[in-house]
Amino acid sequence: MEITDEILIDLYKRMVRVRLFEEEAGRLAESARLPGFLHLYVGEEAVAAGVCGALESQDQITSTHRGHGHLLAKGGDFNRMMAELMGKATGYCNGKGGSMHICDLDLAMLGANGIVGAGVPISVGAAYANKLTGNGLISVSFFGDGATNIGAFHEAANMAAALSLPMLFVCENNEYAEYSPRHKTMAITDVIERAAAYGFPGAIVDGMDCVAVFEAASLAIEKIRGGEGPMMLECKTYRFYDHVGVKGTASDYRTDEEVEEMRKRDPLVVHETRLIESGIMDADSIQAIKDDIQKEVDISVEFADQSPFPELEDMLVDVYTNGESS
Amino acid sequence: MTKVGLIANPLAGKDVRRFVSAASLNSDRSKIEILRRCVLGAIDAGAEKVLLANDFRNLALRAVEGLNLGSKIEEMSFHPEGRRKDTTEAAKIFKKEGVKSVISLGGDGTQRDLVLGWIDAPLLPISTGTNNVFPFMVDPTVAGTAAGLVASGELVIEEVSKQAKVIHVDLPNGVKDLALVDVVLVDDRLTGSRAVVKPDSVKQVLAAIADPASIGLASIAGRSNPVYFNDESAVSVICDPTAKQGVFAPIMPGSVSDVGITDIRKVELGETIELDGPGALAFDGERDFVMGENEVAKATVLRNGPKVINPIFAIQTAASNKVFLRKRNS
Amino acid sequence: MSPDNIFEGANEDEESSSESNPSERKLGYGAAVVETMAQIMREDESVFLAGEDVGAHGGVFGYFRGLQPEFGEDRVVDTPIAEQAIIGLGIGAAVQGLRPVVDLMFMDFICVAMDQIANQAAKLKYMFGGGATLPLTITTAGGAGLSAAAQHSQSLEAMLCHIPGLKVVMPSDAYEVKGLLTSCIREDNPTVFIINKRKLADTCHVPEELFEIPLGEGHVIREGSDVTVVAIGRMVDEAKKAAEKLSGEGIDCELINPRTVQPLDIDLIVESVSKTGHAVIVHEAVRFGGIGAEIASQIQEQAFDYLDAPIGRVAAPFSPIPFSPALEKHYVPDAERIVTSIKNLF
Ligand SMILES: Cc1ncc(C[n+]2csc(CCOP(=O)(O)OP(=O)(O)O)c2C)c(N)n1
Ligand SMILES: [Mg+2]
Repeated sequence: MEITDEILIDLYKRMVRVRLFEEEAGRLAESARLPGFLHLYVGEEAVAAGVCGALESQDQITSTHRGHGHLLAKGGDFNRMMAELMGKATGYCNGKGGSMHICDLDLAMLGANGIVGAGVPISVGAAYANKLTGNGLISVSFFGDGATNIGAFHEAANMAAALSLPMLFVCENNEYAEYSPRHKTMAITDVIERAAAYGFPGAIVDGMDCVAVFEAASLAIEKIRGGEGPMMLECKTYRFYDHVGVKGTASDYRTDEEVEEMRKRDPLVVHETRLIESGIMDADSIQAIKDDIQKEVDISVEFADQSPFPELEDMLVDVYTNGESS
Repeated sequence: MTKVGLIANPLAGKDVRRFVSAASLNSDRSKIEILRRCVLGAIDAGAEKVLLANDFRNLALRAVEGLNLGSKIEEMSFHPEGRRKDTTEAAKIFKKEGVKSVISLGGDGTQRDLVLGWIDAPLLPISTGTNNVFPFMVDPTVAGTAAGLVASGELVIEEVSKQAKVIHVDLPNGVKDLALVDVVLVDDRLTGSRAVVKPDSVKQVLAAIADPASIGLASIAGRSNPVYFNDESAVSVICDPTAKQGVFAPIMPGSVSDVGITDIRKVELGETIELDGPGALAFDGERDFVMGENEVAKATVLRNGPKVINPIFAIQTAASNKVFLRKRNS
Repeated sequence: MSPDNIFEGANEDEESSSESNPSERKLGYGAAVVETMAQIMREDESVFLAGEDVGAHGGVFGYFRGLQPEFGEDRVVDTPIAEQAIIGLGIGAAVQGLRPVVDLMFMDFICVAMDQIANQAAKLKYMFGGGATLPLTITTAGGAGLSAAAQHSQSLEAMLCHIPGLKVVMPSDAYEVKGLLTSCIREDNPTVFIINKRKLADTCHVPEELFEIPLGEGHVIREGSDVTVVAIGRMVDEAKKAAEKLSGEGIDCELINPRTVQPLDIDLIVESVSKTGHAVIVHEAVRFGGIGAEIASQIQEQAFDYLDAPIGRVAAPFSPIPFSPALEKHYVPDAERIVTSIKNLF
C-alpha cells in the first residue's frame, strides 16, 4: 500500500468537505435555522477521512450521533444532507430523520444513531452478512469512547470476535462523553484494552493525523479482509465545539486552554503543512480546493432553503415496507 | 538522599504493530503491577525514596495506591501531556533531583526518549514495549531490588552497569537526535503511523546493538553480522528488495521477512555514516523524520550513553556480597 | 438548539398551575425538580441521585444543577453511559434500604434498560415472596415537539403501565413536579417519574416547603357538564386551551388530569363521565395501545349506560416521531385537534 499524492490530496478533500459543511451547519444552527440537536464533528475529521479513505466504496459503516463526518467522508451528498438538517423532503431521510439519523444506503452508510452504542451491533450484522455471502466486504463501526461503557458495545465486540467477523471497530476517543471526562467514567484509558479482553487486536493511532489513521486503517483492513477476524483502531482525537451545537454550555467541564492546545493540532492544518512542505500542493491550490468545496456548501444551503417540507400525507409512509400505517 | 526514579510510558506496546504482527498489548493494568513491584523491591532494598514521574495516565500514582508508603514516595511536580517529550522532560527532572538509579518501563522508543533528557542516566530499563532490544525482560521485584541497592550504595554502579552506545544523528535541519539500538532509512516520505511495517521499504540499517535473537529492524543487521551491547563497534547494512542476497529477520514480533541486502559493513565508534535522502528516518523503530532529495543525515556511534544496570548481574553480585543476609533482633 | 437552552429560556408569563394564586411564589417546572431533590436530600440521607451527567453538569436539561456542589460526588453520582447498570445500581441500593433516584436522561433510553426495569425492578418484590422493598425512583424526560426525532422524543408510558409492579407518574406542571416527585421518592415501590422536556421553562405557583400529592389520585382542573376530557402530562395545557375555546362555543368541558397513569384514578373519571355522558382522552403517545385505550375501555365497562357518544381519543399517529418540524407539528396533539375531536361527539 503506497500512499500516493492522489491519496494524500483525496484525504485532504475529504476533511475539507466535512469541515466546511459543518462550519456552515454550525452557523445555521446558531442563527436558529436548523431544528433539533446538532452534534458537530469538527476537530475529528482525520478519523473519518482516514478510515473511509481506506475503505472500498461498498464496505458498510455505522455511525453515531456525531455522524455528519462519517457520511461526508464516505462521499455523502451536500444537498441531500443540508436538506435533511433542515427537515426538508429532499433530504437523505425525506426530512424524517434529521442530523442524528442521517444515512445513505447507496454508500453503505447504515445510519447515524441517536442511541449511544447502538450502531456497533448493527455493524456486527452487516459483517455477518458479508461473511455469509462471501462478498469480500468488511463492515466498520464508528463509536465514541463513552459508547464503550454501554452493554451493546460489549455484546457486539464479543460476538464479532466469537464469530470471527470481518469488522473494524473504530473508537473515536475524544476524551469526553457529553460533559463527563473519560477518567471519571472508566478505570482504563485506552479503549483497545477492551478489544484485548474479547480476544482481538487493537492499536492506538494519532486521530489528529489523517495519514496516520489512513495507514493504520489500511493495515487493519487488509488483515480483516484476509479473514483474520475483527480488529479495533482507537483514534485519539478531540472535538473543537461543544457536545451539542457550537458554543460552550453552562458547566466548565473543560478549559479554554485545553481546547486551544488541541486546536494547535488541527488535523486540517497538520495535513496542509505536510502537503505544502512536501511540495505536493501549494497555498493556492489548497485555497482552490477550499473555494470549490465552499461553493458546493453554499449551493447546498440554497438547495435546502428552496426545497419543500414533507407533506402531511408523508407522515405514515415508510413505517412499514409494502403497506401503509394507519 | 538515596532516591530511585520510576517512570512508565503508558503508550508503549499499543501501536499498529498489533495489526500486522503478533505483537501483544501491554495494558495499563500490567504496567501498574510492574511499577508496584518495582517500588516495593526498591524500598525493601534500602532506597529512602522513590520519585514517581507522573505520566498522563497516572500509572505510577495508581501503582502505589493503598501501599501507605508515606514519605517514601515522592511525586514529581510536572504536567505530562501524553506526548513523547513527557519522558524526556521527566528524565531531566530525575537528573536535577539527583536520583541514583532510574527504572523505566517501555520499549526501545521509550528508553530513547528518556536518554534524550539524560544521556548518561543510571538506567534499569524494563521492557513493556513492542520492540525490546534495549530493555530487560526481568521480574520487576528483582529489578526494583537491583535499582534500590544501587541507590542505597549497597552496590557500586560502576560494578553492575555498563555504559551503552548511542547513535548520534545530525539531521539536515540542524536538529540533533539519537537512537539506542538502530537508525533506519526507509523508502517513505511520511511518518504516518510511525511504526515501520513494510520490510521492502528498508534502505539502510545502522545498528549499535544487532542481536540475532532480538526483534525489530536491527535484527536485519543482527542476523547478517551480529554486534552486541559490549562490542566496541556498530554495523551498517544496505538493503534493496531486488538484491541477490536476503536475510530472514523478524522486523516485528511474529513477523519474519526476507529482506534483500547488498552490503554489510562494520562501523567504528566515532566514525561518521551518511544516510542519504530521500526517505524517512526511523529511530529505534519509529519513523520520526522525513528527508527530501539531496538531504543527508550524519550518524556517529559513541559509547557515552546511559549506564545500564544489569539487574540479574546486580542481584547476583549483591548475593555474593551477602547483602541479603540480615541480622534478626531476637 | 441545546437542551440547556430549553431550560434557561424560562417563560415567566406562562401560567399553568393547577392551584394558581398570583400572589404566591412561582417556580419553573425544571427548577421544581432541583428544589424538590435538594429539600428531600437534606431531610433524608438515604436519598442519592445517579445518572449520566447529573453531577458536575447538573443534568443535560439542567434540572439537577447545584445538587452535586451541595451534596458531593457520592450522593450525586455521574455514571458512565450504562442505562442497564444505572437502573441496576438503583435496584440493588434500594433493596439495601437506600432511596435512590436514578436518571435516564431521555425516556427513549428506557428501552436500553428495559430488562432491569421490567424484569427486575418491577417484579423483585413479588418474585421474592414480598421480601424485597424497592423505594426506587426513575426520572426521565419524555415528550416531542423539539425536533429531537424518533429516538429522543417518545412517550412510552403505556409500555411501563403494562408492567405490574411499577408506578408511572406524569406531572403536568411545576406544582405537580414537586408534590409528585416527593411522593415518588418517599414511596416504597419503584416509580417512573416522567418529566416533559417541553415544559421545563413553564412556571406556576409552587409551595416552598415539601408536600406530597398522593399517587393514584387524579385532579379535576375544571368542572363542566358536557364532556369529560382526560388529559395526560403536557396535554393538560392543550386541553385547557381547548376547553377555554369551547366554552365560548357553548360546550362546557370537565377537565381531568390523572397525574399518575399507574395507578390510575378511574373512579374520578367514571364519576365525571357519569355526569357528562361524553369522554375524550388526550395523550402525546401513539393512539394504538396507548393509555387512552385502557381508560376508554374502563369507562365503557363502568359507565356504559351513561355514554351518549363513542369515546374520543386524541393521540399521535402510528408512526415514529418525524424530525421535520413540518411533520412534527401535526404529529403532536394540540388544542385544535382536541376541539375538533370534542365537537365530533355532538
Ligand atoms: C443510550 C444512550 N444513552 C445516553 C445518550 C445521551 N448521549 C448522547 S451523546 C452522549 C455521549 C457519547 O459520548 P461518546 O460515545 O464518547 O461520543 P462523543 O459524543 O464524544 O463523540 C450521551 C451520553 C444517548 N444518546 N443514548
Ligand atoms: Mg467521546
